[in-house]
Amino acid sequence: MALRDFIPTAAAPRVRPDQPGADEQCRLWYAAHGRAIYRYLRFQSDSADAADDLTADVFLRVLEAGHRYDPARADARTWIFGIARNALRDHFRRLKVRRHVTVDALRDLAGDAPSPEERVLREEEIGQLLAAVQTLGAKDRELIALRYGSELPFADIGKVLGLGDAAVRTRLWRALARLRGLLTEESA
Amino acid sequence: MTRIPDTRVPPDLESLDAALRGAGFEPRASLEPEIAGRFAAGERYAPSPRRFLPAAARVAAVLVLLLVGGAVRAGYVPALDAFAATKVTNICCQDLDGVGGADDGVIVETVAGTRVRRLMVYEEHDKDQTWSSGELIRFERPADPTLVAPSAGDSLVTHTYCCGDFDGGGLPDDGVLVVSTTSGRVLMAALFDKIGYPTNNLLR
Repeated sequence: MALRDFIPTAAAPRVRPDQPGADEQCRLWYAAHGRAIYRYLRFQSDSADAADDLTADVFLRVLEAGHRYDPARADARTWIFGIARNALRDHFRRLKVRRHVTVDALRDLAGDAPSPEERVLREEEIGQLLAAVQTLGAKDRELIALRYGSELPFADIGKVLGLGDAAVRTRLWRALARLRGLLTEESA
Repeated sequence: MTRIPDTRVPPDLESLDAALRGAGFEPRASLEPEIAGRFAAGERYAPSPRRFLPAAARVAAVLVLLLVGGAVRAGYVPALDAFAATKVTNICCQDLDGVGGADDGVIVETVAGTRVRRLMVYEEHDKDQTWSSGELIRFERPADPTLVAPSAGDSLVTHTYCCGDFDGGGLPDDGVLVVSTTSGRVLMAALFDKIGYPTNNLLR
């Protein structure tokens, strides 16, 4: 069954844990959006563990609220990113005080390095980059997470944030310019 | 690592764009079955309780600020007088008591260009056309207009002087009303607004 066949075209019945097919629904939702959601959350959380927990929260909520999803109002990706945004806000509310700079072990960093030394250097470089992203404002951070974490096209970022394509681009370039300023300050 | 379709990145941001593209993260493989297992076990997303009280307190604070701001601007809340601008106006000299010609002055202190906080009627003795120490104070009152009880047999006379900006509100629409006895004893003094006076106006 292709994913598009699974995504409901009308309100889906509520999934109960004991109901046959709950596993399958979870697998399909996760296969379609899990990586993008994880990376979106990872760019904005301070560790791989936090991103794991947040991703689980998002998909538990998706499974619970799937019957309320209305494809006439938003496509599945926009809907699930809306849930992820709420979960992230909730997470920060729980934390109360955000950590500004965090470079923990990047166990979830993708890609292979030719040697362990190069892997360490790469982790350090990405860690600094991620730490700088964490010090940006929430809107900048979210834009960068959607673009470089989830790798969404500008049009899809616009749907998630309720912005036009051009506005997304302009804001992203501004966010990058601010990030570059932060990195320059740090290296100075 | 280039996974995002190429877009027109500004040249000065290209290296940062490339570095960010290289920052790819992968969720651990066991995450999906773990979520399915947690859901099957009946676990649910548990949002943190919303902080209704702080939110309500913030709304209340905004409302209070709006009310205070409005009240101070309008000058309607005596308790807030301390925060509002005051103005003292000397209105001199007219015949406001029917005795001695145009030798009476009124000093009025107003709050926020509207509310009268103090009002005094004096008799200008030294002919310098303004209040000086030693002038005779004929009547003095606090914020609210008050009428001194007349003696038995007194006949009352009303005098008005209009108009000027006596309350500091910026418009020359204020008048002075003085009630005195025929012998010149001032029993009451107040400001009034020209508009609506006397049928639809309160004395201040």
